[in-house]
Amino acid sequence: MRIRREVVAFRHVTLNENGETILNEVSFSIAEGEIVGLVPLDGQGVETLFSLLSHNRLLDRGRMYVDEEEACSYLGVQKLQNNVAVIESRSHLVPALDIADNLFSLKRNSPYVVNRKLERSQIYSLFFPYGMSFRGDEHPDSLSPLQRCAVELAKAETSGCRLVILRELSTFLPPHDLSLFQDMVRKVAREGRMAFLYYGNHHRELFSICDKVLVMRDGTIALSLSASEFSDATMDVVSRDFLHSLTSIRGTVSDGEGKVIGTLSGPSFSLPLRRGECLVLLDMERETIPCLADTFSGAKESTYHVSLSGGSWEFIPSNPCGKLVFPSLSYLDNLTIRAGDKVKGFYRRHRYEESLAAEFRSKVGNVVDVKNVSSLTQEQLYDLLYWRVDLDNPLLLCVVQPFAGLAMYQRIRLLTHLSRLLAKGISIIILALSLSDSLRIASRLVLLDGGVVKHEFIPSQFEQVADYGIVTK
Amino acid sequence: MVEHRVTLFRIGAFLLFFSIALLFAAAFCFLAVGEYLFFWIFILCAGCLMVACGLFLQESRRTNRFIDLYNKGSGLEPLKTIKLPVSKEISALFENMERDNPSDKLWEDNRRQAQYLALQNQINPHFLYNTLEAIRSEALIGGLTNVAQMSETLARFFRYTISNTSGLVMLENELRNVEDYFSIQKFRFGDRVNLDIQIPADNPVLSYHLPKLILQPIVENAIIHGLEEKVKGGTITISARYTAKILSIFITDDGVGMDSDELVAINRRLNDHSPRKEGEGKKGGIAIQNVNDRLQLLFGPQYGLAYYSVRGIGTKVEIRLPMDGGPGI
Repeated sequence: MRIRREVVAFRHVTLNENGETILNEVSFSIAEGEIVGLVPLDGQGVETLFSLLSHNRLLDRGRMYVDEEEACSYLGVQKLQNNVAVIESRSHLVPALDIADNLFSLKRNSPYVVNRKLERSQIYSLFFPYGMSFRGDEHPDSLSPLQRCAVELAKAETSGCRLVILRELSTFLPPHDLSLFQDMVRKVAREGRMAFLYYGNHHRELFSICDKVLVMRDGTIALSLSASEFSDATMDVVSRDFLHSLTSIRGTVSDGEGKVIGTLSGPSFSLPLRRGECLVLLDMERETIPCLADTFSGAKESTYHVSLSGGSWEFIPSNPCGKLVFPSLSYLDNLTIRAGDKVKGFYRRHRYEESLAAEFRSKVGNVVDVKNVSSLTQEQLYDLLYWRVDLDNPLLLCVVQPFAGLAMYQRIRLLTHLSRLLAKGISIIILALSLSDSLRIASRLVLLDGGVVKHEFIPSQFEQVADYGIVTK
Repeated sequence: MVEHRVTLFRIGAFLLFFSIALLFAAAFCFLAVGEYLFFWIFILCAGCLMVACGLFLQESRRTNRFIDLYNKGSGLEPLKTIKLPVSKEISALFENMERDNPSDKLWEDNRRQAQYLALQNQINPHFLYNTLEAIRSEALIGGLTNVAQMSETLARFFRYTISNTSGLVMLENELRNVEDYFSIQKFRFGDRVNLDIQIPADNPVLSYHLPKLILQPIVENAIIHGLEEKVKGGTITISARYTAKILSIFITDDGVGMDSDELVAINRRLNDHSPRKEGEGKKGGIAIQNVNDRLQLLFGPQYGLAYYSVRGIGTKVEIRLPMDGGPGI
């Protein structure tokens, strides 16, 4: 049996940014062929950790080793970059190049003369084990998310990457595709060429595939669980604060008897929308969600239609901070961006603003006086967006993948916001590819497959969703 | 060493003199040839000066950082890395500090400290073995098999602890010593504490050679700070994993665990080479730091201990050792 080597190792790594300790005494290692999970509890240091895995920096304490050689330490940087690939919701393929060029022409020491026939045969042998076939002249835009991930995985292999970071796969791969891609990852890992760092918010998703799971809290690796130590009981203790917080969050709201405020209809379904209920639409094939999002955002003409009786809706896209927050405006201006539509002369009369500022100071603190929101944290920006919805008080709020990219404690905050909006009588539609914590507040769950309603569940039937291979908790 | 350290200093000095020489040449050109050539020589001169200043500034910043790291307890390593020690006298000072605190002296100090910590008392070993043997005989005569067994285990434990602490031992022997230590603790705690060694008898890592008394202090710490405080007791698990170059031994307990702040503080103390203070003998105390120091002195800074812990779940200690340090594999 071939003895594995260590691909990356952190030893007591501490890293400060702007005088704040981001990574604090981080120690872990990943060996060849290993799939290591990473669950963040509060989100601190995750981005810095990923950035450090790719680009070596001068550390404040400790040492980092790549391929069992020192890459950087508190004494200096030995090597600037590491050969690390990232597979995430954003494509890392060059859109102007076809698959063959992405796979073979971009790698170091690629041949000057392109032999298309050879490339085609190599592409065939690369993807045949995964049950996929490409001609090589397809462009990245034409690929489905699963195909794109498979191509990126193959690209990582051909370019000699030693570590692949898999980021929140369940937020952009539908359940069936996720399972197929996990099989591919397992296969590559078994061959022992590469190692994987699988970042996800849900331990059950990670337990099903990983050899080891790291739990990150306060910028340190608090727990390193080997496969024999995986248990829900352990994670329940880890997330005790999280679970405790959930008990204070109001659960399901409607029992199907609420007043109907409108309908959401498509070519082959029509769903009634009830006041104060949370409807979760889970897309099994990732075809319907983008069209529904277009309908709600008004970005494109779509075959889906929303009709509300006497009211408006608001839309929050996935990862909304960069899309709905105006960085050059003050917190209060961002908060009251739509207030002018509701209250005539809102911006001319300063007493309105002063009154609102006083009211929100008690809710969000002095952050309400911030003049430039670009300095706010992700958590504060999410607070701003949901308080804005609260203030606008629409009839319906549509949110796409609300929990994507959020650590456990940030998810608690978001659930609290959603729960408060529901209590206020605002209906919520969650468009999701993975359930994440949506079921905590859901009144109804609808599975969509190919634009058709496959199944509808009420809260007492939520456990049955697991039969569809979906992680429910 | 001094020659290597002053290389950058020499480059900077060379550039400084070169630029001064160019300045003289420029002045000569200005007088002899004309303004145009003077201009370009002046630019070249200014460029050299800037590079020289940049190099000096960069190195002096690095020097300050390394001295700062040393002052904060990172040991002598940062001082060894300094390339611009400002003057010959300061360079000599650093070398004297290294000479006065050589690695082998530190190693010897740590070894002695380990022995002291393990025993706490300077007892004559033969007197101790004879006494324990006498207790065992008396216990067997009186039909007290438990007492006999206990004294036998205790004698074996002391014999291992006292004899030849400077050499390397096989992992198998270390594990046996841990079992002996655990048997003694079992008399005190009964079924509240359990030991589970998950390294199969045919695993080649058992013949790996490592410094003596590495595992026992960690197991002791796990019992005292992890399991003793837990009403139900718990289990200590020892497992191992190896790659081509690294052997990792994991000692896991399902005891009370600790909070993030405490965890960070323990991990930080492990790499703090400033003199130990009184009262640091609590969780991750002197014995644990001693184990870490000995491993790092013997094998290098990339090896040693790392703690992982969550309150309510337990604590895991990873001991990293080099595979090529063990001739048994």
